[in-house]
Amino acid sequence: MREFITEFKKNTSRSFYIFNGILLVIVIWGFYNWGLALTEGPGITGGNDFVPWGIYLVGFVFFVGASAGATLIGLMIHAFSREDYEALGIRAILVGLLSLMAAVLNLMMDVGSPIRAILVPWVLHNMTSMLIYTSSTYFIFGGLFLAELFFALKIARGTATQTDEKIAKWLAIIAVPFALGILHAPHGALFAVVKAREYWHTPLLPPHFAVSALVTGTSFMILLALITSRIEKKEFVGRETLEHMGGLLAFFITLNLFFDFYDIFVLKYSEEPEGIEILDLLFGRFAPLFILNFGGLFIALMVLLNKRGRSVRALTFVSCLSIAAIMAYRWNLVIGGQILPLLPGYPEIHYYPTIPEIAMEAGIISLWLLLYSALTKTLPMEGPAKAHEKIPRPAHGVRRFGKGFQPVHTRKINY
Amino acid sequence: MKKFDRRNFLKLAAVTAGGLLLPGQANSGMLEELTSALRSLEGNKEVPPPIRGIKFGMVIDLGLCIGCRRCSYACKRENNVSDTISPPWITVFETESRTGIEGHYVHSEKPGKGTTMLYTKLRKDKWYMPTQCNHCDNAPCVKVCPTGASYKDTDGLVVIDYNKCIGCRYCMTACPYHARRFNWWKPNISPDRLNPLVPVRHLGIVEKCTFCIHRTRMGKTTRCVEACPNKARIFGNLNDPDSEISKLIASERNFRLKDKLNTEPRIWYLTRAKDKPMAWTTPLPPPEGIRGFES
Repeated sequence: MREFITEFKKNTSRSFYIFNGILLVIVIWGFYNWGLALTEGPGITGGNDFVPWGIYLVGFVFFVGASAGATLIGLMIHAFSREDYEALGIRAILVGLLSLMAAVLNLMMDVGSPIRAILVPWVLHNMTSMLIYTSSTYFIFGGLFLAELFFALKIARGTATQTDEKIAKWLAIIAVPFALGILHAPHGALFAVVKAREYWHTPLLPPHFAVSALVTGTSFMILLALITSRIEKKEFVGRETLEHMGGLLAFFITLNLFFDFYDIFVLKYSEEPEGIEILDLLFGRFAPLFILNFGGLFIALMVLLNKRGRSVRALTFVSCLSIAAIMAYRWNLVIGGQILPLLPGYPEIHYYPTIPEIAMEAGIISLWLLLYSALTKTLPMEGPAKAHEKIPRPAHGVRRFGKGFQPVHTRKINY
Repeated sequence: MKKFDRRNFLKLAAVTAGGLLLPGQANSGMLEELTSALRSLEGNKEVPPPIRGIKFGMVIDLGLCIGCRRCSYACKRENNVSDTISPPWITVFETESRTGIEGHYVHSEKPGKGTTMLYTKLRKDKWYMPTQCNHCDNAPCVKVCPTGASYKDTDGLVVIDYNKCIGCRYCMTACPYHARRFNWWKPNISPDRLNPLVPVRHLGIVEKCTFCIHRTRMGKTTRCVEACPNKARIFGNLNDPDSEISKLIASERNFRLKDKLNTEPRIWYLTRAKDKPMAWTTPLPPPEGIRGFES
């Protein structure tokens, strides 16, 4: 223990303590507000009987989406044998694990009786509810990510046997269909099955959720690679890897725009009364977010398709923009779906998050960052294969994404 | 800088954990919430058992409704609905015309302009539309409830087991009739108007119209039916072909809210045929003590 602390002290800088100290203050502020919500009542949030689901549900679906990056990186490493991704491996699993934790925390803060919610789905369960399936998947995925982390750490420490490596490989590969099929799509179905809300009630929603999860997940991973390189002041992943991730992001953004477009196109073309209401909302009160959603993704795609669009600066911009665009989409969907009145005669419905609510959400995000920075500091992050030391071996079938491989060390990257 | 050894680390950890847990500890009822949920696994003991062979339903005659909101007030007092719950369980809408009512509610068209909701002045040229929980046979709220707190009982009532509700509010987003209310604040009911037969819902759970389960299962009618001065509401047994409600549903022009959603609501609305005189043609005694009434 003493050795560990001395080692820890040697490796940490002053800015680490300041950064995490600020995060800790925000976490305490957020949890204090949660306590306030439990004692005073959830009424201190901006939610009301017309918009019962507020900022937490937006955060919840967003964080579930963010965990997609972890499975994607696992797939790249193990199924496509891209060793250059291995530097991201353990971090990606941590991102997945922490994002799931943040999603569950969002749900717990949202429910009126969190202590009773612990009984779901073990004791209290109604098998026709989508929430049972989504809440069960957190345990499945929590377990899967923990197992992946266990084997990845074993490999990183160099104590893994061949069987361990095989298990790690297969865990990463089965995670992908599982993630799309039972993690992301059911979260879309959570909304899609609600026939009372016309904006949610479309069979396109589950695949749309899966695709937008891939957009957020990939953007998250790009940002993670760039920020880590910045902090550790070394080439964390190679240029080729970054370009490859940029290509993946462009592909997912195209798919997402395709879903976005046909959603609106069908509503506009059929001119059903409910559809007109939705369009009135999207082009009216929610127009800024709608423009951010569509325009943001479109600009991101244009930048990525540009020749110089895969530079560090461009990639940072593009990933931030696509995360913001997907956030705007989630907001429009979750809040906009409830703002449309169910019965005519109600006054215009509004929802604005309040300070305690924002504090709680900020607390969750800070806790995510705090745990991430603490865990990356204490766990062995460097695998035996380091991207900046090794020349990445081109894998069969991946070439079509990039323009052929070039040894990483011959190209300079300015972070 | 202070030495960061194990003792200091433990101190810091204890202070942080205490700081995180303290606000949660203040709510002493939290453990009780957990145990009550476990106790209610054997069944909902807070309501009388359903009567065999009965299926409850309600008819609301829109031609007779004068929009006095007495049903809404009476319901609130009978069912211990807190002042913090808004809008109340029974919400009465004001609409422009009869076709407007059918147009809006059956086909759920775009809302017309100038319609308002509660406690407006009563006007003769308007139509009034009371809405509440429809106790649907194919209830979306029952389907989506993750805990099984909302369930459909054999006598046709959609009941909430308050001991099982976790307050996730999925049912509120799923209900097409906006019938459910959440306890955003601690209930605020003065002791003199407390009805001992109805449990007071605590903070953080969902509630809605129960069709006065504590009365109807004991052979009485609902409080809103009693309170209606114009007898616009009829409550009864749908299984009995000779009951008034069965005859009304069979004979008169009726519709149900958002029928196309296939929720099978248990509340039918009656509209009057064109040749039949409207209720407004016969003068009514002005209701006393109702806010906003204009004679």
